[in-house]
Amino acid sequence: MDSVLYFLIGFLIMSGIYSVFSVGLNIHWGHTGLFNIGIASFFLLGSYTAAIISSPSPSLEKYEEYLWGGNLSQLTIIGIDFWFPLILILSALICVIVAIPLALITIRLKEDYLALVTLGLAETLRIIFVNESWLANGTRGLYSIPRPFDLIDRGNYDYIYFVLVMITLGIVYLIAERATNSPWGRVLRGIKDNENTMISSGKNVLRFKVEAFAFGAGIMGIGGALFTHGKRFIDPITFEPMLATFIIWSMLMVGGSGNNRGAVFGAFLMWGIWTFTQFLPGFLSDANLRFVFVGLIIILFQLYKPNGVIPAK
Amino acid sequence: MTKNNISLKAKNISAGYGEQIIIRNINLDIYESSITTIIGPNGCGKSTFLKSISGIINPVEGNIEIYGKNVTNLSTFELSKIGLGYVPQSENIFPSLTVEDNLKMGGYILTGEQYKKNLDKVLEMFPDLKSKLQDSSSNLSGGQRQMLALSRALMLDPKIIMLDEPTAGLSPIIVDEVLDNITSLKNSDLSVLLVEQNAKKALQISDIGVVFSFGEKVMEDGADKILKDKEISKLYLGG
Amino acid sequence: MKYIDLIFENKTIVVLFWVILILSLLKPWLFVNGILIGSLYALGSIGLSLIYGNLKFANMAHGDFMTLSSYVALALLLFFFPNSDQSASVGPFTFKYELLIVIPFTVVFIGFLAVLFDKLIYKKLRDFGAAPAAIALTSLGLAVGLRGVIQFIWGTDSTRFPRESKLFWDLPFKIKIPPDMFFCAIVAFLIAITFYFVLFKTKLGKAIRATSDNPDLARITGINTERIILYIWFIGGVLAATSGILISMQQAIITPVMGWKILIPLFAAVIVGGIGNPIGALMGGLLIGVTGEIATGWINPSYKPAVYFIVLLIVLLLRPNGILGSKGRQF
Repeated sequence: MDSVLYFLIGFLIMSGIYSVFSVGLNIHWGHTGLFNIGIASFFLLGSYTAAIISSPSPSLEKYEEYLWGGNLSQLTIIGIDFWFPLILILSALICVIVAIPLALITIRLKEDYLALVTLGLAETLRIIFVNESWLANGTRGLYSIPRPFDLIDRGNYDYIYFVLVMITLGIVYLIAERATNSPWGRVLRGIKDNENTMISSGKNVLRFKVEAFAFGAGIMGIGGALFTHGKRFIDPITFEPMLATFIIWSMLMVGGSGNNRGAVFGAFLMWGIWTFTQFLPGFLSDANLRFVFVGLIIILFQLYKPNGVIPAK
Repeated sequence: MTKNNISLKAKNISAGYGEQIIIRNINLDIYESSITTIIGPNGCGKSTFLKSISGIINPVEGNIEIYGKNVTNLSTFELSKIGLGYVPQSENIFPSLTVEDNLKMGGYILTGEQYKKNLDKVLEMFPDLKSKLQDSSSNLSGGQRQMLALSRALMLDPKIIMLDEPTAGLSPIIVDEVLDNITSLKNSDLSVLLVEQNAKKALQISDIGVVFSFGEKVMEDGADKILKDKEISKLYLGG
Repeated sequence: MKYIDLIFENKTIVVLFWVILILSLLKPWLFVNGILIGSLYALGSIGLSLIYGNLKFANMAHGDFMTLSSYVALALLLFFFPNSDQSASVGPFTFKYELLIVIPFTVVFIGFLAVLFDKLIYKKLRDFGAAPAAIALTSLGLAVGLRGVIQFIWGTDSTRFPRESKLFWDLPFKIKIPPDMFFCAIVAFLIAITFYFVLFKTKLGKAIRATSDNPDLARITGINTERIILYIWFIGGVLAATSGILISMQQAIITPVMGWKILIPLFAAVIVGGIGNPIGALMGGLLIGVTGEIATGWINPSYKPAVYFIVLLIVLLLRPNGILGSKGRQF
């Protein structure tokens, strides 16, 4: 029974992490109509920021090629436990810094250009991290990432991390809700519904869109940081578009575009399907069928229920 | 009003864009061998009426009959097949195509023979176009463009032809030329429905005049009578 | 944002042009490679531009049509000609005659498949009046789904058409060309020319251009625009399929992600040439090909996708309507 429970906790942790991404995408697409198909970029940036800061210094004996690790768990003055929130914030910040110039270039243009640019960025970032081993050990990845709040035995650590993820998700959710229900959020919704009306009422639409893009990107960065400390091993392959972009889209589609609650619900539902279909008999458990399923979800929901299962209020 | 056959009957038409209804309860009959002109201020729904007949927008209420057949919800290209020609106000030619290709598109559904026949007829009517057949249509002047747009519609040998402000933006001499061309259309069984801002000149070549105001038909009478009407003169015909 | 526009004006484009020209002269074999590869990109982007310009959305599934066509061609080849490993290859090229037989059937199949997807999916979205981003998102779903199907049937490993190794051609200026590359480029040009003939000289082509100019007017004229759209999908599908197979031949490899990976350079080519501009797409493809290859002369070749991305960014920054101008689309 213990191992089943442990497996479930692992599942819940990932669902929680994906919920954060989903909420971020909701800010982009559900709320503002920004077409971001490079979620992987911010996933990657957030993950690697957290990983680099908390990895120990490179050791030559292990043929590690990267230049610098923040080595947080060894800092005796403030250990990683207290660094953890700062890691999250820093990851978010890096994403925001990257997001802003990108947004400035493309958001003044039609929405589908943003899609192409985010797509290209995700691929480019992956290539950079594969080739520039001095950054993060290239394809070998970073694997000595410490556990925050390492208070109990290794075997039961996940319970603690689960709590951490849920707290973070809760905070992110509350911030997102606050933002989307504020006057700022209402302007965003107005932009999505009818941009021309917003322009003629004098709002600087470009500024709002850039802000929304940066905000969502920051949230995705937090998701990345959570992922790093959850999995404690990352390499460029982790950020393949399937699990770093497409599945998140399907989560938002299913859960309800325009709705933070729906975003979280969709994340749990889709991750559940992704995880538990591996127990189906025979060929049904083939991972590639999950690809097909994710694709189908996006298509079907766009055709029949573009607002998802939990529609926006 | 005349003894001619009715070619098109619009009954109780209401139409608009999305939730905005622009025209309400329009009843209008169009006759063979005659020119009917709709006048009225900007935004009163004249163009919307033409669009609702031609299938570009669907009326939310009412129906339309052409020679007795209910055509209310037919699509635009089906309507052109049964003989309804339409020349929109702006963007009424294909700028990527040559003059000849524009006409070819006009005769898209014709057989090779019919196309040649109609092309000759149309070029007889508009000899200026003959020399410009291979030119890009985007290089035409305003007046030539209108001629091309009208010729394009005539390629299908329509029974009813609707023109939305054919003289818009043209100099007075060209306006007269265009209106002369339209007048000569009457010489077959063609029914002409005209929407015009140049109200006075248009009514002078018309048989029937119709006045629209705020989405409703407020007057219909012989064109000459409307021209003489003092109130209409003041409001729409410049005194 | 005015100061951004002021800094980057025509001068930058001219400078970039000269830079590329000079670099090409320094290492001409890269330039030749660029043209050869670029011609295949051009074929892909002509189809993509046709769809983008007429159906008004970025077709994210275009790449996966290219991938699918390669796998289908391979499957047909192995099914109908199981002994093709042993048969002779064509002239100085590595591939077998049987492949040439299989290709027309494959591309027609993919063309019909594209039409099918329009009937099942895109037409419904059009009838709703869905926004371009929403349609593009749906095509993304289709892309993912297609890739899943491909991987489910054929696995995730790479494969290739049966081939026989052949020598490169040795030309002056250190230019070495695999003959296959040359063949594929010629075929791509021939198909592009056929496409232009259809587009500019046939009634159907003129109707497509008319619909592209003004769909309402086209309908008024008696053109069945929904039927035209199906033709557009068929042609787009055929072009994608052909370029996909040619690329597989040229690169001597077929992988499930090959089409997806090409999306960025294809879109860059489409945008450089002007969306909906078929000649522009050809120029764009060649330009992208050349730029990518030239770059590898000075930086790590793994960074080619990054080069394509930077070109895309530059074009969007300087000339989002394309260097040759697109049809009616404002930014």
